[in-house]
Amino acid sequence: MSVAHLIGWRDTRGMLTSASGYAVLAGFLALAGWTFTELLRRNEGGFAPAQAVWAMSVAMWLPLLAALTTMRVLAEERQTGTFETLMTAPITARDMILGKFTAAMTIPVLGILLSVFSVLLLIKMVPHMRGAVSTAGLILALGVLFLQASAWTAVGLLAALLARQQAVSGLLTMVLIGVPYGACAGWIAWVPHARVSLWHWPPLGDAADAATGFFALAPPILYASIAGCVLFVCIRLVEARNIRTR
Amino acid sequence: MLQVIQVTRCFGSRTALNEVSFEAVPGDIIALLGHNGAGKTTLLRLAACYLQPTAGTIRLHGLDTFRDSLDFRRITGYLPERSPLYDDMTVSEYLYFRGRIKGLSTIKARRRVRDLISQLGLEDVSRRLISGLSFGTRRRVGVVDALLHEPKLLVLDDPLANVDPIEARHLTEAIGAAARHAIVLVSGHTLEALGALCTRYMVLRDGLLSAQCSRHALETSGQGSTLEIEVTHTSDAALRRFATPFAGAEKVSLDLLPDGWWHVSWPVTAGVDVRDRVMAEIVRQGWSLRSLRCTTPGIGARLAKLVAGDAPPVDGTRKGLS
Repeated sequence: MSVAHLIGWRDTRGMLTSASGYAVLAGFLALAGWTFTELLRRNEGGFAPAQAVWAMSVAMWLPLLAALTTMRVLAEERQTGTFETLMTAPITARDMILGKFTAAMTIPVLGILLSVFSVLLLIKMVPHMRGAVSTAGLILALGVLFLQASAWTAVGLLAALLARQQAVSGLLTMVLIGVPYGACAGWIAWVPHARVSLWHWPPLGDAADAATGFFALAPPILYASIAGCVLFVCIRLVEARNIRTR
Repeated sequence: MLQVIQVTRCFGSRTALNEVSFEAVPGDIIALLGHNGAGKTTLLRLAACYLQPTAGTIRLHGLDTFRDSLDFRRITGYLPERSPLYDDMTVSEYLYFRGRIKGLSTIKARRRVRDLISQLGLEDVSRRLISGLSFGTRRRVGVVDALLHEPKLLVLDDPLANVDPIEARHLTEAIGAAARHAIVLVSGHTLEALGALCTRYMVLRDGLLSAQCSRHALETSGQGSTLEIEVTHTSDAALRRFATPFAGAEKVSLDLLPDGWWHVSWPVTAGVDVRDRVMAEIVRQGWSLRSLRCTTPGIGARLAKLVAGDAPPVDGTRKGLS
C-alpha cells in the first residue's frame, strides 16, 4: 500500500467512524431528496425525465458536500495539530494531497450512489415512470456527477490548505465554487431572451444532459481538468511551503 | 553530526531565533532551556523540518533541511509540544499507521510497534482509543511515534510535561536508549528530570543562545555549594571572625537555633574543600560541633540558576559555537 493509500485509508476510516461524517451524508441525502421531489412536482407534465431531475438535484448540493467533507480532512488536522506530525513525516506533498483527496471523495461518492436509490424507488413505485428512466442515462449521469464531485473536492482541498480554521475553509470552498456559479447565473439573467432556469446552469445542465443520454465530451474534460489542475496547485502549495517559510 | 549554523527565524517583524549556532554528535542529549517564548519550540520545529530558517542552515549528516527535506525527515523523529494524535484510532493502530508512512515494511512496523509499546509500558493501553488516554500516556505514545523509524535525530518538545514519575522513568529510559545511536534535542521546564537525562544544556533567551554548558561541567563546578556547621559554646562575633577567612565577612550567615546551637553557613569556592581546615580550627577553638556538611544544590537548582542568568556559563560561551 502506498503512502497516499495509507493516508487515504486513515482519513476515510476517520470519516466513517465519526457521527459527523454520517450527519453530513444524511443532510446531503435529505437536501437532494427534497430537491428531487420538489423539482418533480414543478416539472409535472413537463419534458424533463426523472433521472435528469435526479441528476440536477444531486449536482446542486455537491459543492456544499465537498465543502463540508474537505474542511474536515485538512483544516481539522491544522486545528488539532496532527498536520505538524504529518508534515514532519517523510512523505511527499503528492502523497499527502492524493491521500486526502481520496478520503474526501468517500462521502460524495457514497452520497451520489445512495441518492440513486431515490430514482430506483421512483421506478418501482410509479409504474408509468418505468419507460422514462434509462439505465445508460443513469450511468452517464453518475460519471458526470463523480467528476463534478472530484472537481469540487479538489477546490475544497485548496481552500482547506489556504484556511487555518474549518469554518473558514468551508466558506472559502463555497466562495470559490459559488463565484463562477453566480457569474453564470448573472450572465444568464442578463442575456436577452435567455431562458432563465436551473436547467441552464452549466453544472446542473451537464448532469441533466448526461442523464438524458446526451453525451458531450466537453463537460467531463472540464471537470477532470478542474480537479487535476487544482490538485496540482495543492501539491505545489504544500511543496512551496518550505520556500514560503524560509 | 548535527550542525546548526547561524540560524535565524523571523515571524513577520518578530525575530524568534537569532543567529543560533551549535553542533552535536550521536550520543549527545541536548536540553534546550529557557522561559516561555525564548525560542525553544521554534528551534525544535526548525530541526524537525516543520519550519525553514529565515537565514542560516541546519545539516544532519550532510543533509540540509531545505535542499534535502525529505531525506532529512527520514532520519528525524519529532514529538510536538501538544502530542497531536488521531483520537479515533487505537494506540497500536496509530503507531502502525505512523510506522508505515515513515517507510517501514509491514513486518518491521509491527515489530517496532510491539517492541516500543513494551519498552514504554504501553501494553495495557495498546488497544484503547487514543481519545481516552491521559496526557502523560499520550506523551508516551508520541515518543514511540518519534522513535519508530530509529531516527538519527530525535526532536522532543517538552516530553516530560505532566507525566507521572513512572511515566517519566519509562520516557527517560527510552530517550537514553535512543541516544546511544542518535542525537537528541529536548526542551522542557522540568529541570531536575532534564538535568539528569541530558548531557548538554543550552539556554535560550529572547531568541539568543545565552548560555550553554555540559553536564560534567555543571556537576563539577561546585557552583552554589554551601558549607554548613552547627556549633555551640561561642558567640556570634567569634563565629564571624572564625568564618571570615574562609568566605569573607559579608557572605557568612549566622542563625541561633532554639536549642542554643549556632547554625553557620557560607558559600564555598568551586573545587576547594575546606572541611579539614574548618574542623581543625573548631577543635583549636574548643567549641562543640554537632554537624559539618557541604551541601550542593541538585542539578535542577543549578539549571534554574543558569536559566535565570544568575550563574555564569561554566563552559562554552554566552553566544556562538560550542
